[in-house]
Amino acid sequence: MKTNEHFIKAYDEFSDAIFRHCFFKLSDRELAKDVLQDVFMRTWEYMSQKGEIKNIKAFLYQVANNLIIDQYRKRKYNLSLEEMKETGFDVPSKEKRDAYFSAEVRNIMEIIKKLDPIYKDVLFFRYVDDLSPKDIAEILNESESVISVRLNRGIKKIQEFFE
Amino acid sequence: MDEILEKLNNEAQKISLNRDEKSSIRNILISYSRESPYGAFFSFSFIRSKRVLVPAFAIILLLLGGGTS
Repeated sequence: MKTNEHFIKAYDEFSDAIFRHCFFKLSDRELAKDVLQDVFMRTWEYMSQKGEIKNIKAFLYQVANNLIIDQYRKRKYNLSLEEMKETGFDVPSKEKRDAYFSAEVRNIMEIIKKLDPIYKDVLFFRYVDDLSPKDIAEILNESESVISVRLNRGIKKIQEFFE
Repeated sequence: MDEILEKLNNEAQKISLNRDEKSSIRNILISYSRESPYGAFFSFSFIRSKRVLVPAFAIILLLLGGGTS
């Protein structure tokens, strides 16, 4: 199979998952689509120069995370709220994302957001992205056992919020 | 707790691109992968690969041999 066939196959297989990941992190459907496209363009550039990627799923999530961080930085440092409105930038709001979920799920998402990032990220990957501890370990460059411990501790911390 | 996390998982999995969005980005990516300089490089390396080069060289030799006889 040629490199660009591999690439398009990866798009067919993982586009929904990467879109979902971006959408949850950015709370904006249009922005999530732009980032998704950018993720695959950068992946193509990498594949073209360096050949096949060993674990393309993990690679796509890593690229997506880097681009999402870029978006956060842009929001935080480059544009004020007023500037965003003036330039027509779609100001992201959690209401846009929350419209898709039940009150119960919105509540648990709010709790997860309050957790320490090391727990928040693994819980997010596990329950929103539906990734296995093995996949999460590859994305975060950690061992599978570290991820399992973080998942268990994260769940305990959520339970503490309910008590 | 398991129940609510499962519910989060189920509701999250319903988020996806619609068919038009998916195919529109797909088409952009197909064009991008064909037009990018990396794509052109790969078509040349495909020509340079042994599987193509050896038979091509053999055909050229045969043609040259046929032409001189």
